[in-house]
Amino acid sequence: MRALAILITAGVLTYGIRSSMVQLLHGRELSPRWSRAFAGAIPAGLAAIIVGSLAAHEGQELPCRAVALVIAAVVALFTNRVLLVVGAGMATFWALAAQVQ
Amino acid sequence: MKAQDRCMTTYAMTVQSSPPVRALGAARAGARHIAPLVVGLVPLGISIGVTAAASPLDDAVGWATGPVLFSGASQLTTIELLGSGASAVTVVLSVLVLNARFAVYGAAVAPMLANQPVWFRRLAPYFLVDPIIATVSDPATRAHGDTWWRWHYLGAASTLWVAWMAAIAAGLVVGPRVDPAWGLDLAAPLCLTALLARRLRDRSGKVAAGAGAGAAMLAFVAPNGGAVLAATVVGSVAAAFVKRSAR
Repeated sequence: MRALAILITAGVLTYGIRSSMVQLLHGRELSPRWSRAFAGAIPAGLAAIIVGSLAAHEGQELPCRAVALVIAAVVALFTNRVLLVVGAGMATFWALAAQVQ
Repeated sequence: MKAQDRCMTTYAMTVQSSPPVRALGAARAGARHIAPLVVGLVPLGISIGVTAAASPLDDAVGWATGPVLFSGASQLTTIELLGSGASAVTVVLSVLVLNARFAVYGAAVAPMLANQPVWFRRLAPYFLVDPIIATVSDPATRAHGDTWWRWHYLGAASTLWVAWMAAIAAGLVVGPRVDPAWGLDLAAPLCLTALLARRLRDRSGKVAAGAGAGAAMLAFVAPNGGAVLAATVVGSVAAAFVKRSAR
């Protein structure tokens, strides 16, 4: 029960975070600079999560994952197909991981 | 006769393009657009279920992190912290730091919600996660009008939600059969890489992504959710000044 109560509290506050700016900015017009800033949050957030995902790994797995992400990024520049990007990245990772084992 | 034919044609066209049919078409389009991302994110959902299965936490609570938080990173952190007996303050603060970037996402999507009905403005933020924001903020989806965009959002969000809950449940079931060496959790950042590439078509996106990626290197020094939040803010600030420096 304790765990569930804590979880629900965190969930309600998380919804509050998600909803806060939507409700605060409703009906308000932002300056071009603020609009650019908030629009920039999407690529910035995605890049941060991608790079940050490497921090949880170390040793020989880290460079394998880094190279896989770079290969996937290159593929992504030439195609809109998500599965192709994921496939290229995973194939790269498995090939490199097999080499270092 | 010709006038009657015109009336029948108009009536037929109206029926064929009635609001319920358009809504369904838009929802299906949303489901189709997010489907590749769902496939890439399923391994992450399964890994959350596997983590919950290995944790002292009750399986039902572990699964409940899905509908309650609906955010992979904070779900993993919550399961680990609750399983280790961390205090309520520690758990809640950790979740808030990890999810703080959603406030900025909310600001980014606020203009798209401006002309939407109240019930949708209340519901849509619940689904605000990286794959959704990347999918629905695509300019191509906004060209069809507010109603189409709304049902497209709901189609994408509900597809992701159902798949996510199912993946977590599957992870709870398969548990230790999943070998971490398979690296299946890499699929999620690879999906996000595909989405990020679409945002690099203009200078503002490139600057924001570059600044965000650079700031995210902080995660190697201070590995907590604060690095992602800080990087998101840094990238946003950089994007704000792009046009100014271009003059």
